[in-house]
Amino acid sequence: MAALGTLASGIGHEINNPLYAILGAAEAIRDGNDLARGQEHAQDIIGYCKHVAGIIKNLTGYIRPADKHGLEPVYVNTAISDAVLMARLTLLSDAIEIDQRLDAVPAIFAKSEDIQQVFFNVIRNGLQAMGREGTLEIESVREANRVLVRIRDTGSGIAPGDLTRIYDPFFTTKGPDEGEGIGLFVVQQIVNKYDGTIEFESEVGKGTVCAITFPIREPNGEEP
Amino acid sequence: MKHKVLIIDDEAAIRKTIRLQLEGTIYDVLEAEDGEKGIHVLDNENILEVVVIICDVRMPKLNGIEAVAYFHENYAGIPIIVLTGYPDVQLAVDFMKGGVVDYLVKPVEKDKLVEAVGKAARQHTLFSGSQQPKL
Repeated sequence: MAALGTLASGIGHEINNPLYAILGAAEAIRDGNDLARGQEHAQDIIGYCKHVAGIIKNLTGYIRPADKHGLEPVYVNTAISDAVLMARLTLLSDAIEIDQRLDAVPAIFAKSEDIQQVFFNVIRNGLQAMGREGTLEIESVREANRVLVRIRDTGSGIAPGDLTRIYDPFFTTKGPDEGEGIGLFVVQQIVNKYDGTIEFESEVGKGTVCAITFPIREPNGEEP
Repeated sequence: MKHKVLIIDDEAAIRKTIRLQLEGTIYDVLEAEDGEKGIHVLDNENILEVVVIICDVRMPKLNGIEAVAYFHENYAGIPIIVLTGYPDVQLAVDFMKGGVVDYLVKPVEKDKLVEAVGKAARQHTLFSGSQQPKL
């Protein structure tokens, strides 16, 4: 219920802000007579509308239960490597090392874009936590009938009080341009959708470890 | 004397919107992206010219609740309007009890904002002679 309350007030905040910007820009068009400025305001309105649409898409796209018929074999190591490639694009520094130690693990059954989103969000968080220097280690192993992925960063860590809220939608400790606070909410929704697990351990000033598991299943949903 | 309004909000789009809505009024606009920067702006301004502070609630570093408490303590003569995306009754009551002059929920129409700023600014004019900032 606490998360639901955070979701409701978070939606209020995230939607009301761009709505206000849309209102202000529309008023400026209504009250002004400078065509060039009016076009600038209209362009702003388009941007704000896309921003709102993105928030709604993020919130609704991952909450739906998994459609078992649309699943495909997803190679976790490939999803990790693709997510690393994307996350590297966000790096501002060459002093960040990303060390991948990936065992040969069986495929899981999921939607590849979902699994890639999980790893991308967690990896990006780790990179942001490290700022301009540090090491991100990613390992994948098989543990019984599950694939386990550990992502360890040497960043600023998460305070114990914040650790209990990291999955709350719109909860964030980042700056205004670094995210809206729905990344780990989305990750948790996807992990739950595929009967996975996710755990975080963190120490302030030392770093954070995220452990994610997914069950290894046959295409019909049975365990091997 | 100039009449300046200090906008404290972490979103550039919101600062731009308030600036647009106050365009053409008697108010000049100052901007800060969080409470800490808001304090820095006030420290470097002629305090008697800052007639209203418009402050968001959820911001990094010093949030709106902490910032408003600081302003009441150190810049008691400047009326504060809280402008937030959270339509939270209890939060509004707490802020009003704490002495803010208005609690507005985004989105706010231009006429309503200009009216609220004018009403707040008149309170500054009434009290600025007797309540000098401590800093």
